[in-house]
Amino acid sequence: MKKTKLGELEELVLLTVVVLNEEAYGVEIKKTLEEKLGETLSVGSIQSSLKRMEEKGFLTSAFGESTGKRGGKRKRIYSATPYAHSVLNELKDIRTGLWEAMTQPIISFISL
Amino acid sequence: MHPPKWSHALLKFFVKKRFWEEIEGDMEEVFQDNLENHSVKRANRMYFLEVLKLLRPIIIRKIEGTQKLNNYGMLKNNIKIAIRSLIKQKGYTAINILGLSTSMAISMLIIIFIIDQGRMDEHNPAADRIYRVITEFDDAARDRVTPFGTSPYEFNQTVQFNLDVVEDAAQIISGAGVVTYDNKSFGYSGLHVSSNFIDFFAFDLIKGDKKIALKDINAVVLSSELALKLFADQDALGQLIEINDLGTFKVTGIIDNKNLNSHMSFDLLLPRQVFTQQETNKVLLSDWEGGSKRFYNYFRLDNSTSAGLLLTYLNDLNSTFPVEKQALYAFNIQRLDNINLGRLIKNEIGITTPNIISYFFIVLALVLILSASFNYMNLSIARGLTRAKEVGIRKMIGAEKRQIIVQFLVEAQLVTFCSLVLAFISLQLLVPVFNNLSLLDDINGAITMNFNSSMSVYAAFLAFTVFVGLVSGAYPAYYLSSFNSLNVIKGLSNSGKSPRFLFRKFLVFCQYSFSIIFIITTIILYQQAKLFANADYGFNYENVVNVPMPNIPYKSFRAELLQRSEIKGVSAVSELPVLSNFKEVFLINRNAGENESKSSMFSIDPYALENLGLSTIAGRNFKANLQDDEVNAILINEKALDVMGFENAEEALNQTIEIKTKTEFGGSSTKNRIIGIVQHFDYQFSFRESGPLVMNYDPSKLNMINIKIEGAAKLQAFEAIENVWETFDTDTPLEFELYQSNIYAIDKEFEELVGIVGIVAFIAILISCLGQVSMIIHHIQLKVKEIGIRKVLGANLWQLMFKLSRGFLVIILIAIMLATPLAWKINMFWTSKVYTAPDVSIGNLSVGIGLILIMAFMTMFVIIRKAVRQNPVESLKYE
Repeated sequence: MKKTKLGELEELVLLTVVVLNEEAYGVEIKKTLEEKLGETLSVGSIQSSLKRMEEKGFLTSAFGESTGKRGGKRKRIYSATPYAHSVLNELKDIRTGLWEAMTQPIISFISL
Repeated sequence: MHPPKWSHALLKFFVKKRFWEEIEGDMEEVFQDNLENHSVKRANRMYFLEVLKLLRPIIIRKIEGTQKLNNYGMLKNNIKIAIRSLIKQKGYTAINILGLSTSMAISMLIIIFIIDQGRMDEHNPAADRIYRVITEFDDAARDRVTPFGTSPYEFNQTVQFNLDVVEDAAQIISGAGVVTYDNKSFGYSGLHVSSNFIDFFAFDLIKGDKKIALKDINAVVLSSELALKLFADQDALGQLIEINDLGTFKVTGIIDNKNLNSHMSFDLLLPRQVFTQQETNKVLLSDWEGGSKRFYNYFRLDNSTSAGLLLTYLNDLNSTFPVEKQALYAFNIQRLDNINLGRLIKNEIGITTPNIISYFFIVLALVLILSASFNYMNLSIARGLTRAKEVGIRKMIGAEKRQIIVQFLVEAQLVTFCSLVLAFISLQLLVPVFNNLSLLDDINGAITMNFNSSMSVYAAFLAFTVFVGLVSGAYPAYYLSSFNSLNVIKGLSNSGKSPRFLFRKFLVFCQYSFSIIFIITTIILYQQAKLFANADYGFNYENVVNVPMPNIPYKSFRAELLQRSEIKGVSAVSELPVLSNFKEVFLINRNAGENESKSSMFSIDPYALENLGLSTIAGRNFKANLQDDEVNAILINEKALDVMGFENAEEALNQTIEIKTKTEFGGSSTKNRIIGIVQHFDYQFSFRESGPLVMNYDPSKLNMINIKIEGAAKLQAFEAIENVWETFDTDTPLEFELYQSNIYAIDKEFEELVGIVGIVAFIAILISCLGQVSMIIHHIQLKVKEIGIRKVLGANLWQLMFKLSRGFLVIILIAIMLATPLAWKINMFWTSKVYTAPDVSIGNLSVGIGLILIMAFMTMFVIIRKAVRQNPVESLKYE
């Protein structure tokens, strides 16, 4: 499979979408990733990743509910397509394979 | 709390429409979150930054293919419709185009004039780093700082060698004299220049090699004009000519002085050494102060930023001067391309155009354009009612207001572009006429550009056209697009009371006011011109020939001349009354302590009074022999009596008074005895007042000889003068001028000025009339049915006409009431500056008002009469 299908941020966003399930919309994704990565992300980067992935067929979306906080505007909830799931799994397998093939263990103090 | 408005608007501007809701929502949510942790200001800024970060390819909206096609299609459609509607209303279109093109032609003329002037010296690649040193003299007597284009001779060396940033220096010394070739002599005014002159100022020689042209001390470069005068068709290069008594010079180059494009003007160029090596000039080299000095220093710096260093250095130089001079003089610098159209400087090398002239012309152009634009606006709005249905239908099928505005703007632009074409054609005709004005000779103002080769001019015209189109079209577009489609289709139209109607009336009012002011001013200017032409200065200058005093014994010259029968009188003066300025002195009023009054003073010989037709009303004239008369004898005029506190002529006779002169370093005073009082005569050009006058007899100061000749035998008289001259001096050629023609020459310029204002006035009035005509026509069309019905019911013609014209009459009357005092004020202002000025009298004002009224009435009358006579059957047929 082509490595270029999914960029780094895109992969992260995609994973977050799967994690968040029904709450997967712009701001929530952003907040989750910021927390996990420990750095700030801009709305623009998240949005552009989401849109691009939707074009590539990894995501589908639909309007959700509106809230006062959003000035009455509805959220767009994203969900991963089966195709996305399969690509994610594939990537995970490739990575795991490489990690296990390492002869020199990388000492890591973070729990694996 | 809401997100910041502008940032939000920006977001909506570039984000794809289909993403708006979710992105706006997300942005707002983030904004609210931020507000919890940060100040409002901070949150706003973060919002803005986030908006900027939204600028990503996938989010930004594209001008999609269909949108592009749509815009293009609409434009084509708009143009088509505009053309059709313009053709449908041929009459109105013609009126608009006529008015606009006339005013545009004149404005464009003014634009090129100003561009041309502004471009002087710009052909020089180093124009932004060549600076001229000027001297600013603190004139205590006049309480202002007077700048001179000259500066000390030594500066050329001192500055060049002491200041590193100076790359090169050029020096110019002005001079004048006579040049002779093959027995033909002409006076010249020329420049002695350093050998790098031609290159430094980026001039070109049409003949000759500029690298060596000024190397030899015997070289001379002629202007093409002078070369033509001297050599006609012969090749001037290499020829030998005589200059004054300096000897023979070889022509090493010819320079085209018509296309110099520089602030300098000259007839010839000589090497600087010609001046500096003359013994008599050596003493002048250190004499740089005052009004008649002639050294010009230019420096080329390595960079325009070094100008500051140059200025500082000059200030340092100033402090090396003796203390009393330091306070009086300061040195400043002028950049080469800012010399023309810049400050008004004395001692200019050529003749430059000060910026006030360009401001004056700009104002003139603006007035005309505004007038024509007003017309267009008025017309468009007036005809709006006819277009109302069109607008209504467009709106109904979904046109946005913006699109309708665009439609009308396109129409306005179309009209303006047609006017541009017409204006451009007229311009080609106008430029030669303009260049022929002798008014321009004084300011080196002829338009020398060749427009076919200047892009910036075309760009300026284009920008100008678009501007005019926008100005004229904006308001009508806005007004017409705001029609309520429902009302329009129903048939309701705006009544005459709405504020928009008032605006149109205001426009007509403005046009009339302009016309009134113009007409009145022209009438008064015309009278002024006549006054100048008929001015009687009180002395006799008819049949008088003036000759500059030569190096020959005056007395014997005079005696010889008088032997000829054609010569009626010979006298001499220091300066010519009316044509030149006299020296300024101060008289003390003996009754009021140290009170000083200004007075003029000049020197005459004992024969001047009689020769110029003047007489003494008390006392006597100077004695024929200077030795026989008392020292310090003076004559005064009647006005001097008053300022000195004398009751009458008898009282003043034989009194001794003190006369003070003031120079830069203080003054001197002399005690003089009044031996006679002369009848009053005007010695200043009638522009200025001729005040007190003092005359003395100082042979060393006599510069001009006046020769009164037999009027009926002028040619013989000229010959006689020539003959006598030749017996005395065969070297210097005779130069003489008729006193009368010189005085007339000044008149001619003034007449031209009147002419120009007159023409502009005429055009402004024409435009107003056109405007009025169209307004009336339209007004009548609206009322066609009403007129028909009234006629059927029995109204008589006069009643109808009065009723129809009432509205316009009111506007005109108001315009007259308001504009007349304004016109009065404006004219009073400038006539107060002129000594012999016509009265801004009720008579003049009435004539102006009368003319306007007549024109207004005539146009109204003719049109309304035609309308009113129409057969009511015709107008009511389609009911």
